[in-house]
Amino acid sequence: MTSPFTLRSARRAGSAPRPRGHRRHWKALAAGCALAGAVTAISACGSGSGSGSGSGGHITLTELDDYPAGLPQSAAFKWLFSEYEKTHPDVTISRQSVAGTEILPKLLADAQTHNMPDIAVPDNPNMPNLAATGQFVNLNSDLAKWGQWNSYLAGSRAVTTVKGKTYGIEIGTNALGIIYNKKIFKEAGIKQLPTTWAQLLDVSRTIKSKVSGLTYGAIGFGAGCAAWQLLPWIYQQGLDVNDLTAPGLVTAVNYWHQLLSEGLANKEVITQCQSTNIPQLEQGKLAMVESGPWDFPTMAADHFTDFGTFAIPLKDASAKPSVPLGGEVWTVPVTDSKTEAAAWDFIKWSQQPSILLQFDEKLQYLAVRPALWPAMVKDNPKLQPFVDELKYAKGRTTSLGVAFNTYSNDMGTAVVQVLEGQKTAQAALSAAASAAKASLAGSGS
Amino acid sequence: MASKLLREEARSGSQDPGRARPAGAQRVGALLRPGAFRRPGTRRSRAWPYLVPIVVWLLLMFGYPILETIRMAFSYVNSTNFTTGGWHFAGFQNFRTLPTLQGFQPMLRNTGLFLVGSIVPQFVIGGLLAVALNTTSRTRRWARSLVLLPWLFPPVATATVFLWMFSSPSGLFDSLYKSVGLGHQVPYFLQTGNDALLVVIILNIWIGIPFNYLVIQSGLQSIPGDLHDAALIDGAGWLKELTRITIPLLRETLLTVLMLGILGTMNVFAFVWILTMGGPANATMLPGVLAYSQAFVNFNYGQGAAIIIGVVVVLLCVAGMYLVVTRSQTRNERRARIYRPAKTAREARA
Repeated sequence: MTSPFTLRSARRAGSAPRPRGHRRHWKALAAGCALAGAVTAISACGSGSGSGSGSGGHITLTELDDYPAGLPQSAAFKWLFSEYEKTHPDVTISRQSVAGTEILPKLLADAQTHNMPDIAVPDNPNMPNLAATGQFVNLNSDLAKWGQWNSYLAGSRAVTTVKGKTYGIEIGTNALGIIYNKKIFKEAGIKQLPTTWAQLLDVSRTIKSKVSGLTYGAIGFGAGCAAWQLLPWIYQQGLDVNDLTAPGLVTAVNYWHQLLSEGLANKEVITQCQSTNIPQLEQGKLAMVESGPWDFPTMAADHFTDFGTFAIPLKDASAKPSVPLGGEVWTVPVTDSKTEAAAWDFIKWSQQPSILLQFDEKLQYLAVRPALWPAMVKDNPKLQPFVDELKYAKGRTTSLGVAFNTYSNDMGTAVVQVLEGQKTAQAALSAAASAAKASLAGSGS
Repeated sequence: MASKLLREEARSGSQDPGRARPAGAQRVGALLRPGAFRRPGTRRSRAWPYLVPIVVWLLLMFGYPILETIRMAFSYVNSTNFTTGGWHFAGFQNFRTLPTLQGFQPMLRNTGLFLVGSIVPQFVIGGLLAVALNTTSRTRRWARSLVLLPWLFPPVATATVFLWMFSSPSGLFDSLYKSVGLGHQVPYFLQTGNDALLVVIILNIWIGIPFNYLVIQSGLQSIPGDLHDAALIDGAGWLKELTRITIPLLRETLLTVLMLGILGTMNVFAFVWILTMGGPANATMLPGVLAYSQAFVNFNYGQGAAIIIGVVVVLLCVAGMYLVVTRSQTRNERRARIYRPAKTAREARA
């Protein structure tokens, strides 16, 4: 049978429209619509959520974190979930992970499409942005019933709380310090660890003059790292990223520039983050790296143990130790009451001191229960400087909220301009202040 | 159907329509008119039900996002209201505040340098390769395959390889410098503004050459060989052959390559983001990177959308200019064929 739409019939010159053609025409229209509907339905199903799926009493929780497979920390999550599944056979946790820079855009997009995971683990400065979506469960009443929230680190409680509503518990926390290669320090004859900026300069100069081919590379500033690496040098002066034109901030940036201009740091620090410096520290190409305990598992995996740690040196006697509070947060996205209850049950279970201690030691994070710190430091004395710093740690978004992103990114550009020698610190930071102000006004923030 | 009709035209007596026979030229002109291939009595409406799926798909997958992007560009949208809605109308505020962005001025400068620095070498190298490899031999067939290789790699993989080559302290060039005793003069390509832009341009040239080569070569192969033979017999040198035969007949192809090159170059994002993320200090900031940074790093979605709309407007202007130029050329050529056929034929015989 020949279709009326084949070329042969279509070419029938002068043929008048036939009544049957009408019927087929509508059949074709119906088929077209059906196909379009099917395609749309299939695509809609394809992007559907697998949230809290389960049959009978069994439930599968989907989890999203920012430790992709291959990172040592990924194993810690796997261990935690397998432990939970052993004691809760009716629950399976299905893990998904993305790169650290991708988790916020992904969660915001998921929130837009109401396609959230059942448990999300964003970085703590993302909390104001995520809370604004209205797609995260306010845990105030659950935490009140639980009754243990007050024993947590005050700074950590603050970073998970937005406008009086607490949206999660940090999986652990951390802080920035300086990790140094002990062998290089020994060869350079350095016996006293630096505690001030001036001493740090002296130590760096000594290393450069005495140990051939080695430079100091503790900056680790680059796109994506934003202001993280510079914050301790600002916070200790009582400043924040919105004080872009403050003399103290100009001094801090000039200090970094001095490290670079004297050759105490390599130019590669302009684009490198702290983690990319670790292999160079291990190979003895760098003496010091500004980083934190989260790099310990990488160094352990590389069998590099000959390193020490010390706190970020202070500008002078007037400065008070203060570092930005690190760490990701267990959160419960809005799904359905059964799934939300199951997710909260898992988070509560993970906070048992024995479980928390093991999990954070595997992650090489510091527990947000300060009561566990002595045990952690006993197991790994290299954590001591970080524990000391955490007592004064400050949340990045605690006072600035969503504006932190804008200020820190504009400051990051200004810092690179100074390190590149394009502008003076004063000029670059003034321009950054204007840009941030205009950007915030433009965004309606 | 078109080819069949053309064959029928040929069988019925008309020869190569564009060369000598004015009647043939007129008939080809008629064939170019919209609806020329519709048979009498065939109702156009019979075909449209078949278009419903693709139209629905396009409206859902392209139409809706485009409309939302336009709405976003004229609204205050940030992370606090991106999900919850309630986008307040901002008028042209997102466009007005663009010049205040730190990356905006560098983006304008970089885009100019990037366009000229990428498209001219892509075009020249791709064109020269097309001319050089426009004959059949086993070696040249292999060479053609090699020229197309960069096109086969995903831009992300290419960018990662370039990142390794140009990075310090363990990149390829870094190691080369050290191996010849120039370790103290290691070039920090990706950490130095203009060098980083140069690396990005080199990468874009490398990626773009196969496309330029392929399209120009297709154009070259569509030029009838007897024209070249005639030029050879008439004693025309390679330069005359190039300027009188090849380039005039390739004009539309070359314009198409240039236009598509501009469109592609204006829209680059993935490999720049992997290589430099627009840095250092905005030295490699390009429109796509700035839009992404504003939308997904600073969470100022309104400004991100405004940048994209700006890029689309610029590209529409480029496409419009292309259409105007090619249409006027086509019109002129048709007029030349229709009104001066005898002269053209005499010239051809001479």
